[in-house]
Amino acid sequence: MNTEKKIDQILRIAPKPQVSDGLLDKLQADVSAGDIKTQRSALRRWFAPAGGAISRWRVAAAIAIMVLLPLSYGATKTVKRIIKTFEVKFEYPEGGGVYGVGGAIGSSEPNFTEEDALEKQQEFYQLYKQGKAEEVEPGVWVATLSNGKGFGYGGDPEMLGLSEAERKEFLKKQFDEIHELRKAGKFERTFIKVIEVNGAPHRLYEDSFTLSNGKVIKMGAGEPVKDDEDDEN
Amino acid sequence: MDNQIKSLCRRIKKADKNAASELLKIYYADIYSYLRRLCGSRHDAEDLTQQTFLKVWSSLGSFKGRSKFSTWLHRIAYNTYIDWQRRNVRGTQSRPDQWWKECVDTNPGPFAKVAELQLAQRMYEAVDQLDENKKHIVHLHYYQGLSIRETAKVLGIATGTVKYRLREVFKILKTKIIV
Repeated sequence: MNTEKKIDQILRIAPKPQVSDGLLDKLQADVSAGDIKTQRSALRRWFAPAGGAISRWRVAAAIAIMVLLPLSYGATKTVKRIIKTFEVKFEYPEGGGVYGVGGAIGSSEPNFTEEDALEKQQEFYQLYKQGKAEEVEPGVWVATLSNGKGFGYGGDPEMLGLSEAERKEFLKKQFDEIHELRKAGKFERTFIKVIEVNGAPHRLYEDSFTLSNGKVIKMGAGEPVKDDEDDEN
Repeated sequence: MDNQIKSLCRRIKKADKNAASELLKIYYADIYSYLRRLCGSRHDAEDLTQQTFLKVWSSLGSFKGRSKFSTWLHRIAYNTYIDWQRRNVRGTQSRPDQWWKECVDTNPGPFAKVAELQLAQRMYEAVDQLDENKKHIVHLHYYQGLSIRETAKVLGIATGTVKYRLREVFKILKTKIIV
């Protein structure tokens, strides 16, 4: 047998690690305890691109919700409820882009209310101003709240200190400039990964724009993978 | 996707928990094995398997069946692992262990001769030392039995890239077998 065949054979018959006793029971308990979503989940509805672009902040918020909320790092908990605390969208028909910035809070408590979300968001903002929040990924912030639980926030925490009108005005100016840069092709694009959006694979890119004030804004952009790349074998 | 899986998916979309339980029985051991080999600990692998299936239940409603169910499932497991790995780099970093020893202890497997077994263990160790890109190809294509095309879909890369990386893997592994 030649060497390549030998390697091929060894790899193909690699033994399977033994499944721990009780794992199937745990997984089945999750099925019994939780609701199987028969429609798109709240996260996916919120996450769905409304046009050309997915804001990086939305992506970051989703990461924060799924990964960092509501407890400490490493202990991922099931998010039972997501409350959208704000969303601002700007449409640019020319070029087909829709830019959106959102904030959302997730919780493992099913009875988590909008009031709870806003309260925790404000507490987080105070901690951020006191320098007690940490940016663990670009645009993803975490802090420990007074109840000892971790809190994750995706986006620019400065947004939380603005009124709705101020936030909209600030963002409008920023997105106008970003849109002009995009049209002129003055941005850098990096491929991140393929993600599922509503069951269809999309390529997720990170576009980096340098604004006139020197601030660098990174945004996610999604493009559907062509159907012929996703056919059944 | 074969008819049985298609039918189970249809039933699960109607919130049939028995169907979800049946689907679990078919796939959970495969997904656990995949994650166990990658993450280096039984405990983490169990956790990641749990997270993977929670994601499956929450997003199956939007699965359109454009790709095989097992490919879609592996993609979720792969993304779950990648997210975990990113977090792990920041915190307590686990090192991959010698997962094959755990299998060998309780199950001699298909390697009847000691020399064969030692050679196989050298191969698995060498695979664990490959860079991440190459390692994922081996895990999906060989250990999990996915086709080249399915492997490419899970990783979001071209089939040509999978083939190229496999050639590179073989070049490296050959040097281990010749010593």
